[in-house]
Amino acid sequence: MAAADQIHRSPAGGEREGTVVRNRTRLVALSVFLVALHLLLHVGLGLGALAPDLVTLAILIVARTSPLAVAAFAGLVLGLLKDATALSAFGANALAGIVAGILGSLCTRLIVYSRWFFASYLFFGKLAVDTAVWVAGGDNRGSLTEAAVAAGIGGGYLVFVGFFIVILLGLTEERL
Amino acid sequence: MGQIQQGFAGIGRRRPRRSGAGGTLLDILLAVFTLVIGATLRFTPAEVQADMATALRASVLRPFVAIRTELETARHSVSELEIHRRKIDSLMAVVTYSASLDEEVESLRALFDLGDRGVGKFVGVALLRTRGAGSEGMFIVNKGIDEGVTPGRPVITPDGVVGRIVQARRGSAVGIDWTHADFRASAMVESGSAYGIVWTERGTYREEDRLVLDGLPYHGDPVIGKRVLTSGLGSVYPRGIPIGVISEVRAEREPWAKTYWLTPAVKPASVLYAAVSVAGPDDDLRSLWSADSLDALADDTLGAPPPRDRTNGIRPGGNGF
Repeated sequence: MAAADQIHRSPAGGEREGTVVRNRTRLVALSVFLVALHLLLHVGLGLGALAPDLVTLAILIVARTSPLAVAAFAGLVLGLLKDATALSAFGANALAGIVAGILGSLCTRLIVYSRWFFASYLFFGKLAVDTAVWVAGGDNRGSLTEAAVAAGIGGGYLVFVGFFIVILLGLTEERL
Repeated sequence: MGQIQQGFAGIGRRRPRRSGAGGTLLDILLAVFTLVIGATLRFTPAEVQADMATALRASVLRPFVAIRTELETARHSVSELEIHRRKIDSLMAVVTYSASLDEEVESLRALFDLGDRGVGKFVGVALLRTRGAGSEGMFIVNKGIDEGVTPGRPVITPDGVVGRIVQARRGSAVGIDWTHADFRASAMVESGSAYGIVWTERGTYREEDRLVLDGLPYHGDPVIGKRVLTSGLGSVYPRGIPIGVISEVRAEREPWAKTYWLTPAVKPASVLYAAVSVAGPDDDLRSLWSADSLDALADDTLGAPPPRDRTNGIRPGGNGF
């Protein structure tokens, strides 16, 4: 690990740059893990709403630590994966992912951090994604009431899972 | 608690700005460009969208789909082992009984110069549901155009209509069941005395989705408790497949027509295996659902105790798949 750290450090960049590269690697690894787990739970095991929306969590985590364009692109790619499993309204999840990525990337630069912010960020992030999916969804979408209830429950679930991951991995603002 | 404190160490102060954060012009332009790509994808022609979704399912999602298929197969095998055993026993009796009968029927049909009855053309398929947002009322089937599973083909079970195929590719297809907003079926009361359209009325929650039979004559014969079958009109569903039983009046458009609630013959969420009919829309499949199995359907769906063990299902004259 120490050797890898040395490789990441540029001669001029020093400690700070090496840390940034390591953190990005960690972030990518975490995102890939969350997406793979999401697909396993939702597609592989077919748990549906019983499993948390880990793709949205991955988008939100990437968004809070990445530039605008990277966050938007991550939202597009991860949203497309969800679209492939959705069977209808192809592109709705991609669009919602991009919106969440952009909003997430913007708002994390404006607001002071606290655990309440983190919880609100995940909750309203999930709400924003589900709202965007509902708006962009086709004729097969459910009622607004049903979508709102599902988004609220899903948001709470995502906050719980997000905090669980933060605690489990001992993530801090600096390490994310 | 200590871990939480550790996890949020450093929280509470303003996050340091990263290089390029807040958006350089290039950053903003790239984000807007990505947004345009997303919007374009959403409004791309359905055929292109289907191709992209299929490509993703066949590549990135393939291992996960394979896991699900294996799990469903294993679960089905375990949970229905006894049922399958009894069906095999019944089939053995049917085969033994019908071997000589088939010969007789064939020779008699030849004598009267009758053609093939044109029924029983089915492709067995396994249904896979992803259960994500936007995929409600939809499923993937494990057969494609090479096996004759093409868009518009009805998906049915021994109990009746599940839905129809809407997209098909090589090796897989996508279908909708009767809970989907696009489901429509031309239907008739079993006696053939009245015709109408069956569609789905969405409830506030998906559990409240109900089948509606629309357009029956206002002054027609009483139909509550009658079975509803596909009429064969509309060139999608062959004639004679059970859809459900009329349970109560939904609305009256005096003096023209009435609409009714139907108790569905099939609960789509519980269907793991089905058959895709490759019979033509002009074929009449009523003979596949014998009178006694339709009676059992009516009794079951109207809440009466089942008159017999229907898991033993297949028998001479019964539904033959």
